[in-house]
Amino acid sequence: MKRVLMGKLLLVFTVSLFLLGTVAVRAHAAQDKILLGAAISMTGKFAREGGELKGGYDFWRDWVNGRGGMDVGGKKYKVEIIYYDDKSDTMTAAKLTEKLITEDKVNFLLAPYSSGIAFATSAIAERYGYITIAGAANSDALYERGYKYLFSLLPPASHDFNATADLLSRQKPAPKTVAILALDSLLTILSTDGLRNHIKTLGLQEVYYTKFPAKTTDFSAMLTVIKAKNPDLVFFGGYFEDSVPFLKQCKELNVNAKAFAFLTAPQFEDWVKILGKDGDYAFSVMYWARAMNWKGPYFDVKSFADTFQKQTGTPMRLYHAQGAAGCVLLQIAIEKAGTLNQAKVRDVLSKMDVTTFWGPFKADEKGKNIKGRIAILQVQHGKTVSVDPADPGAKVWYPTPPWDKR
Amino acid sequence: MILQMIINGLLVGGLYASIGVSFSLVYGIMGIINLAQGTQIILGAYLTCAMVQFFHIDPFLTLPVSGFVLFCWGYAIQRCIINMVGKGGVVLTSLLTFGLNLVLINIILLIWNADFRGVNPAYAGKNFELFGATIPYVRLAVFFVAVVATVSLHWFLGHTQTGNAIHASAQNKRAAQIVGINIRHSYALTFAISSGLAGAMGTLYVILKPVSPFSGADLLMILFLVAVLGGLGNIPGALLGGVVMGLTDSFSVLCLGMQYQKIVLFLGFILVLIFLPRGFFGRRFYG
Repeated sequence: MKRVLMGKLLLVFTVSLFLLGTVAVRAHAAQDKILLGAAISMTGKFAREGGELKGGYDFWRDWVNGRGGMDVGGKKYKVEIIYYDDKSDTMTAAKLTEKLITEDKVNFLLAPYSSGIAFATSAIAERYGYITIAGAANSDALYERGYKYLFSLLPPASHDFNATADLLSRQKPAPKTVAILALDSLLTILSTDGLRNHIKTLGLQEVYYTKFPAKTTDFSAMLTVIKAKNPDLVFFGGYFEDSVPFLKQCKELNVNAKAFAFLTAPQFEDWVKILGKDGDYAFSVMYWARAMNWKGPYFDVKSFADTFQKQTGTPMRLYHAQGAAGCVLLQIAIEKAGTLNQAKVRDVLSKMDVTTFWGPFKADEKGKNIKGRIAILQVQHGKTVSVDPADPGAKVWYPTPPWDKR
Repeated sequence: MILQMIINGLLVGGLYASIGVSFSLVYGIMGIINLAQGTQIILGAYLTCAMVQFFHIDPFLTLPVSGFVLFCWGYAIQRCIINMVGKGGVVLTSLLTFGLNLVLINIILLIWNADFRGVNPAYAGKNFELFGATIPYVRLAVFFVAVVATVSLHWFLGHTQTGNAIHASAQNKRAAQIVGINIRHSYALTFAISSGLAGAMGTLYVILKPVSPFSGADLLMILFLVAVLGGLGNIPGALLGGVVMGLTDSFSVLCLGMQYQKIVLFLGFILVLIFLPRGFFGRRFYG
């Protein structure tokens, strides 16, 4: 008797839950809102990058709502975003992504920061048939899993350093030898592995290669070995927290090269601020620079930066643009599809060949952006300028003078 | 190259030693594993950055201020919070300091946000040659200040009345109380000295490396290694532990490569734990 009663109760409970879910989904539609969700790093090691990405999402939401919302099949929908803090932790991000899909019932997902975290969240999204436009995750391995709903805004990471090597190999006096250092992480290893293959085609000789573990802050031992090898070019595949002590210690130990090229960091204001004049001559790569001068349907490079500053009251930073660019791409696809159906929007994305303020986008069958471009930056007089494509009047500073002659 | 490696190892080992001492002191006297110690060092570093930014002064001059601010913070925290659960054993106090660590990180985040900070004085990077080895002035100065701070602390604990009172509190609490030592004050002072040293080391640390609010977690690993290698609660041991760690770092890179640096370090650490479970000079209490 008791069992029958429990069974009935369970049935009533399940039906109620189902009805509640239906009502909730209908409520979104009835309110003419599109609900987006993002599990993003607000604290932890990626708080800075995640915070900027979120700033880009917020900007786009306010901007699109200010225009009356997104046009889907002739009807305007306002945009709302639910945020959760993934604490820069992969497992937390995966759980929160599932929560956004199954509990919050968001219409679309916005991507997290970093390839490592996107690796986990895109797997969840794929399982539920949700699109991920990764604005800040371009590790090649992400796109080698046969996923149908994952797209990259950026070009593949394995090409990151190649353009810098091309540029430097054309300089006079021509460099002959290269030292490569790689942080032992998914993205940096990909970039440096790509570079190691690429320099062979340029006739450059690799005289030193090493991986270094995460959280390394003392490079003095490694630099002593590099100094003995005396390479013409030093490529450093690491992040902000690695590259500052690395360059400081290059100066301390008087390690010179014709060029020091970094994967990322010199484009950040605080990198230049911390290193001052010592940061001059450093090369870096960026997926976006004002000199690229891309023009899109809603913004061009300049108008985006201006609108961002005007709307938010803060100067635009790189990840702001990256975040907003991912949203703009999603917006174009949704508006073109004229529906909120994930599969139909995905089909549009996979065929789309478009240029936004961020640059060209054309996905291959794996979701990699095969038209994505890279700009090469150099720190000159304490400011980061684009040298390829070149800002007006900008020229490559090469070779880098020795530390005692700067 | 060998001489350069030895110098690199020694110079970085001096700083490791001092930050290890700051951690070891609290454990040796009070039996508390202060999991907030790494972030206290980072707080000292942030104070230095702020002073350099606002007053445009040399970062070395900020050392007494960051040391003093952290000293006061440490005293207050011990008297008002840690003292309340002092009898709760190592698990409870570790939980408490873990919580304090989170609070400190969020305070830093609120005031300074998540951006990396660092200082780069004009003389940073200047160096001189000695028998073919390059010696950076800044690293030498940091090493010198760190060693002076550590040796001064050792002298203070061994040769002053307050130091003796701290010793007595660690050796026999009841006997110390009988001879009129204020145990609460002694403990608070110990914690304050440890925090003050952490603040001062934060100043030295940020001269060499950039920091973020989360850098304390990385430092905590160094603190543990140095303190355990030297013997928890032992100043000369921590000095030796720091130097051994610095030299191991250097030579593992030369012989095996950078990617094996941490493996070698932790293998050595395990061997020390097996054959010298109390570290190089481990004793039961501080001295």
